[in-house]
Amino acid sequence: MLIEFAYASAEAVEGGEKAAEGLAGTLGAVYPNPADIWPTMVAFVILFLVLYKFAFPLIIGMLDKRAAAIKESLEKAENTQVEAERLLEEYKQQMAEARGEASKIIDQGRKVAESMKEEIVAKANEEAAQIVVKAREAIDSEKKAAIAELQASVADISVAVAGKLIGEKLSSADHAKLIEKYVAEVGGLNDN
Amino acid sequence: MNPMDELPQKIEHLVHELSVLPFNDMNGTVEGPLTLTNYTTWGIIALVTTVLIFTFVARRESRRMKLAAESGSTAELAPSSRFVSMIESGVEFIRDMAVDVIGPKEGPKYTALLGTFFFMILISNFYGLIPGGKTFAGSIGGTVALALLSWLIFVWVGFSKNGFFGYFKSLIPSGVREMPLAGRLVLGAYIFLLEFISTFLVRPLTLAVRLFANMYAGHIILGVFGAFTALFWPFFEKGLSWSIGGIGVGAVSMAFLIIMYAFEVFVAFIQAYVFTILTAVYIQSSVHASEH
Repeated sequence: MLIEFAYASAEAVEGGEKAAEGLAGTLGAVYPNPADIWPTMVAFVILFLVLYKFAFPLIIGMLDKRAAAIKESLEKAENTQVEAERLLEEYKQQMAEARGEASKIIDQGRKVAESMKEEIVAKANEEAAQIVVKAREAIDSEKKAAIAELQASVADISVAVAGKLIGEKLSSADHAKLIEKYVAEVGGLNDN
Repeated sequence: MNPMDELPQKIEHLVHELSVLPFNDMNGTVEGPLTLTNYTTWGIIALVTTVLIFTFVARRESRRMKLAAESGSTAELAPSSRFVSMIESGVEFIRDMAVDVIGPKEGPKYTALLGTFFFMILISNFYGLIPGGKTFAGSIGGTVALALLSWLIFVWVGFSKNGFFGYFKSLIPSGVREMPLAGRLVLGAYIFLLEFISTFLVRPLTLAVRLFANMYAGHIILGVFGAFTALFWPFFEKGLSWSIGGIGVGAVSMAFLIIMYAFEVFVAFIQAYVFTILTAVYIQSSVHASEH
């Protein structure tokens, strides 16, 4: 079989057409037919040229470019994330600081308000006390004036009442005459 | 009539149909190497399809890369459609194979070459699965052509990378070359003979026969199950009658036909892959021949 095949193949290579005809019946499918060999080779070369010169460089170029773009995007995304995390941390810190400061300011405000309140209250108390003292003084002096006036009017009224009681209205001149009379009487007594 | 009586005739017809025939005459014979055969016709159809697919995808890629460069937006580089993505992943698959097998430095140079083997076989094999279609790999002539090209390439790479004598010398392992003179002569000559036969004769032969036998056997299996189904479900077979047992046998044949069809789709891919990766391995052994 093998010898037959080798013989047939050799004959095929040499004989070509005639051998192909003769072999078609005996070896059938396993005899490589030149009518199939060279067109396949030509087809291969054509396809190779198309792929090598045109298609593969473009497709591989696309794949490489895309890979580079994806890599770049991923790196960028990674960097952005790191940056974002850093910023977040920073903002958080700033926020905490601001919050602390705010509460400090509020505390301070509260303290100031407290002290102001105390001060105001103290001042008010003091003023009130002063007012009371002044009022008391005023009352006292009014009282004294009133008493003095009262005393004066009491003397006048007593004189008036006494005059009425005596039945004679004594004028100052009368007063003087009366006094002289009394003095004279008193003196006359001494003569006896 | 018993359906089994018809079977030999059917098988004969199937084998005849699978042999190399003029594309327009089922009963004729191939007269000389310039005849357009059934296999070369389908090979040309597969070639045109492959060229069209890659031209389309490459034009699309170049347009989008241009757009991306003009607009400065990398969004244009995103995969544009499922079909383009599929072809891209195929190309990437081949490039990764070239880099993995041949090496990161030399590998990319052979990407287009390996891609030609892969896509030519793959797309043609899919044509072979269409009823009435053929793959050039279903004829030994077609696979011999590719195996011969693969052989020419790796032998040429071997000679150009290592020099004429260097490549022959590399067939003998370095361990044997460092042996005492007697060992070098006896063992060296023996190993040289084995390696020579293996590299220069067995490699191309196995490449050709493996691909051809797988595709041919697959088509025979599909044809046989198809014939069984047709004989036991005689919709179109005159002189055959339906029977209850026959319907059962036909159903089982049909089930096997469907299963084997699915399997053949897998084989179409696997054989394209095997041929390509073996070519890559052979090129690798030629590129790095002096290293072992």
